[in-house]
Amino acid sequence: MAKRIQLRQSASSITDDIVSLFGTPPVLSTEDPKTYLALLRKLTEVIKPKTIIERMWVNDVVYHSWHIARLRRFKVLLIEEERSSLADETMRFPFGSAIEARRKSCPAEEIDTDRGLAVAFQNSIYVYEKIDRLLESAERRRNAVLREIHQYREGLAHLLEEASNKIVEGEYTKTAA
Amino acid sequence: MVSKRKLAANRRNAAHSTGPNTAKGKARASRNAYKHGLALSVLNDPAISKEVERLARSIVGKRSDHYELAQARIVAEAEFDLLRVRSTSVNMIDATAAANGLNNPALADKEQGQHPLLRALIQLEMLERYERRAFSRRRRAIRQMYDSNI
Repeated sequence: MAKRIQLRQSASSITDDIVSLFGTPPVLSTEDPKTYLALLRKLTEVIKPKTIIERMWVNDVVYHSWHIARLRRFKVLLIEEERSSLADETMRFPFGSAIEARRKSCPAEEIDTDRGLAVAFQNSIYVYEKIDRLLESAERRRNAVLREIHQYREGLAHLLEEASNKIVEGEYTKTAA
Repeated sequence: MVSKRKLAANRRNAAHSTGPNTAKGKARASRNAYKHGLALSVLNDPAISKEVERLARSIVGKRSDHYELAQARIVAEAEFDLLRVRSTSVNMIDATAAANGLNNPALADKEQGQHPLLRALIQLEMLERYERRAFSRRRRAIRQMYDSNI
């Protein structure tokens, strides 16, 4: 039977333990580390990881989920920022002659319409695509962790089945002898 | 064939460009190629090295199988690598935001003409391979630990 490592601890020390195991949450200066920790604590309470390795996986899932949410937020903010900069005289990108070209692509009175959004999207498409690629990759990594957990749990079930069969066969042999 | 006069001039000029002379200059130049240090093992840092050992021991618990402990060390090292990559990527976005005006349009880098967010994303993409590598290393070691328990 597989030897399992137990991480014994009280539920109240979960947050302290998370910080001591994984360090401070990997959040941006504009994000709230408390929300990240609360999410990790909640998931830890629900999943009840029994080994340190299982805790690492839970931490991975939380990190990737947070990162995916962050990238999705970037996508929305990018378009919004681009649209508002269409009307902004002091906008920072693009520079020089490109400003005029871009301003012509959308008349000021149409900035708040679908056309404004479409122009904003068109102007920031290369950044948008880059975020999309990063998103895809983050989702792939999160799925890889989930697959790993699944395989581990399936493997555990298989081991238990084998061990159980051995016990049953052992008893049968003994009785038959 | 280079003339003697030109050769002498070359040698004279070369003497002016032999790199840093002071200890401070040498120390600075030695870090010219240093970008984020993620290619270095976390075990190079004695403090983290101790933490890796502590984590590896916690993973194996009271069992004393050498093979399993070796795999646990790989798992612990890879875990610290992952945490380091994640923290570096967050710091990079923050640093790029501060330096390139993601939050302050007045600081926008006009010379490169590149969207500041794009620059941060490119850096983020570059860090991904370190994360992938550490993740695969950890996965392999976990599987081997798990198989050795059967």
